[in-house]
Amino acid sequence: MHQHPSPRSPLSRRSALTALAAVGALLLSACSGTPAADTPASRTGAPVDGGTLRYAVAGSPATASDDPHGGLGNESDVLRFALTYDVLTVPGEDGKTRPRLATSWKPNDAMDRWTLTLREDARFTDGTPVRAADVLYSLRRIGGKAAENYGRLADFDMAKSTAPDEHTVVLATRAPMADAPRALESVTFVVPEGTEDFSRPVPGSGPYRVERTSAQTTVLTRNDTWWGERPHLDRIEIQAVADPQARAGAVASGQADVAGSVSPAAVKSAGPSAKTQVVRRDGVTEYPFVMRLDTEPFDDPRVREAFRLAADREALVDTVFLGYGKVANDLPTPYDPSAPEDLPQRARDVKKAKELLAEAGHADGLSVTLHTTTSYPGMDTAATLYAQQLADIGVDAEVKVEPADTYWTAVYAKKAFYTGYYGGISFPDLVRVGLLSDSPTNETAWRSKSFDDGFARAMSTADEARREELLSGIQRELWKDGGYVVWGTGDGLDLAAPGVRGLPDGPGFQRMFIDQVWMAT
Amino acid sequence: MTGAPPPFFPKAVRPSVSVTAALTLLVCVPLGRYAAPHPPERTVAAPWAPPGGRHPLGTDVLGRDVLSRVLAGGTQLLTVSLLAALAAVVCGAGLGLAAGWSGDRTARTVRALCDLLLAVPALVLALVLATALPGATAVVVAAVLAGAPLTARVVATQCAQLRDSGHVHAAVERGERTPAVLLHEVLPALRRLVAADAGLRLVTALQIAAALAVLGLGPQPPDPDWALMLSENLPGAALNPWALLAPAIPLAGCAWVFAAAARTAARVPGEAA
Repeated sequence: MHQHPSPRSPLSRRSALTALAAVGALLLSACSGTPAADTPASRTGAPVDGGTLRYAVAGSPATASDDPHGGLGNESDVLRFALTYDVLTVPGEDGKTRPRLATSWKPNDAMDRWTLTLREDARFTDGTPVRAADVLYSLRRIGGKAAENYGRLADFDMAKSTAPDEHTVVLATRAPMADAPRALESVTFVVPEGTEDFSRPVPGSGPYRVERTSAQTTVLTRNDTWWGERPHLDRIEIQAVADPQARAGAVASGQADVAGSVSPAAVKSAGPSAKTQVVRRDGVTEYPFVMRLDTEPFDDPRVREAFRLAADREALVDTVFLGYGKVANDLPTPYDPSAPEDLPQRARDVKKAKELLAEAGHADGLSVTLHTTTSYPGMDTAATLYAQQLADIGVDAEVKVEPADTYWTAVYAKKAFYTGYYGGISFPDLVRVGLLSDSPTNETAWRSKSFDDGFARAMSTADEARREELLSGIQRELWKDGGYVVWGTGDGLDLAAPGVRGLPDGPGFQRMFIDQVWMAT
Repeated sequence: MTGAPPPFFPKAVRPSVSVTAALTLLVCVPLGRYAAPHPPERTVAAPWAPPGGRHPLGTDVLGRDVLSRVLAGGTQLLTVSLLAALAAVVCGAGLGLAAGWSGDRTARTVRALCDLLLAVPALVLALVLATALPGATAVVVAAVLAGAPLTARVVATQCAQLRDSGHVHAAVERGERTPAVLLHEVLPALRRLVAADAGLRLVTALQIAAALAVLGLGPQPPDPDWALMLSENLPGAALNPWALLAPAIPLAGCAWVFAAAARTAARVPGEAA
């Protein structure tokens, strides 16, 4: 959520597409999740202290950065920042926001001013205490770098935000925003006030400190003055490896203990083996098929329904994610806490789909072009298989694989029928970016007064249960009538050596908070 | 005189193994589709299943039969490459004849033009063209721009030598017009050279077409195309290596056979193989 673009400025309009799409799971996913330290593995024995964990994680020198408030193009950098800086809040077990540097938060009645209380025992590694001024400085710096970070905090009005005392921050939002604490999860890295130069290690207040760093490898050592539960590992070695196959290979050959974000094919190739364990994170990858409601033939709800009924969801999950995923029910954010759970699962119904097409005047068949690309592994496969399935209901879908570097500017939110990408974005974020009548990248051309009103009401509702009920209500409308065919979600997959315990398995950036991981001997 | 029976073909017309193989490929590849045991564009099993049972070469990224896809593939690749090679040879030979016949000034201009074109790597040329043109057109244009100068060079040199030979002089003395002389006297004498050159142009065109297809600028899924299959199945190389090897073998095989055929065509008849 932190990384969603603002729906308002032209700058973030561009960011919306890039953020949602091009930068991927990394930038989009930090919204809900289960906590790190509570995986079954960690419960199987008393944690052992000591040791060095070698973590091979996605990262290429071309996008490497030392600035925690910039684009965060490399997971390897995010992992380093998450371990060396404190953040305001983190995603919790049930997808709800948990305290970290902020111990509590309270909105005003209008839900557009949030008062955050900061912990008093946090210190930077140079010994100075972490003050509200440092937090405000860091948030403002993130806001100021909107062009680089896709308007990550664009829904906050930093000019109107204040730090009334040493341990209190009052944040202003541009509109009522009941999910503001969630927007502050995971990537609100706090640095000392006035820090501009990140070329040398900057004092942080996180669980680890930087021992040495280079474009390829960073070595972190435990920060014994950290306020939180004492981390078990003495050192963490972060290896930036761009190729997912190479990351998987590093664990298989014993050169790394953990490989982050590997492909289903790599996990399947590794096979069931005593040498590796697989960590699966729910709902990390989603390639929905996107239909524009303002363009023929998708302006007819019967055509959209027929297209949803044509999908053989199991076959798609089995083929595109090699089974490492789950069938979805046309809700674009199935893992959001507000997703309605009582909707009937849509299943393949070729006969009904044909009837609907005939009713819509396409009894003699229908020709469409389904755009896709190779930005993320399996996007092209998904489109090709779905085109086969559409052929069964009499639709001739021509698959067009577009170049990855122009897809998110020339196809995304422009063409009438294409393959989209979401990486665990929260429902409120998705709404702001793409589902309100005036959203900057309303890719399905979804314009519904009742939907807009329902969302506005939810965002100014303080009561959580009532808010989720409202959000759930507008998702039903989307399920029935919207422009998405959400057939399934793919798991995030990490490979680890058998002795590694306590690896986070929640979606999003939650996986970056590995401060309670330990190694069994 | 009592040794081996005389060969069925006189030596001069006996087709070489490589030329026969090349011609066989050109005939058989388009027919392969009809020998495919499964529909090449349909998912029939789990993705990247290893060879066995109904799928002798296993399945690919979408669970389609690899053998069927290999059999069905290649036609478009060969057609485009052949067209490209033909266009390159016609353009190159025409340019070469013009330069070789007309002498100094034209020859120098043509040579300068050729050098300029040869300075640009063929693949870079193809990639740039592919951004503006459809894949197949880009292959043809790139093969012409990259290949014709090479053809033109050798043809020009040979043509300049032939201009002074007896039978060409005789034709000119008879009062025949220049195009007629080039077509009836010069070109037939250069036919081996041009045939050999065509084989090499075909190999280049094949390489360009395959490269563009691997990069996704050629045929689109679900087309069974050998080069496209390479990029589609790369992630599953460890699960079913045949999804990768099976299309790579005919791809490399075609290039090899055409190169060998070109070498044979260049040989003087009767010379030992």
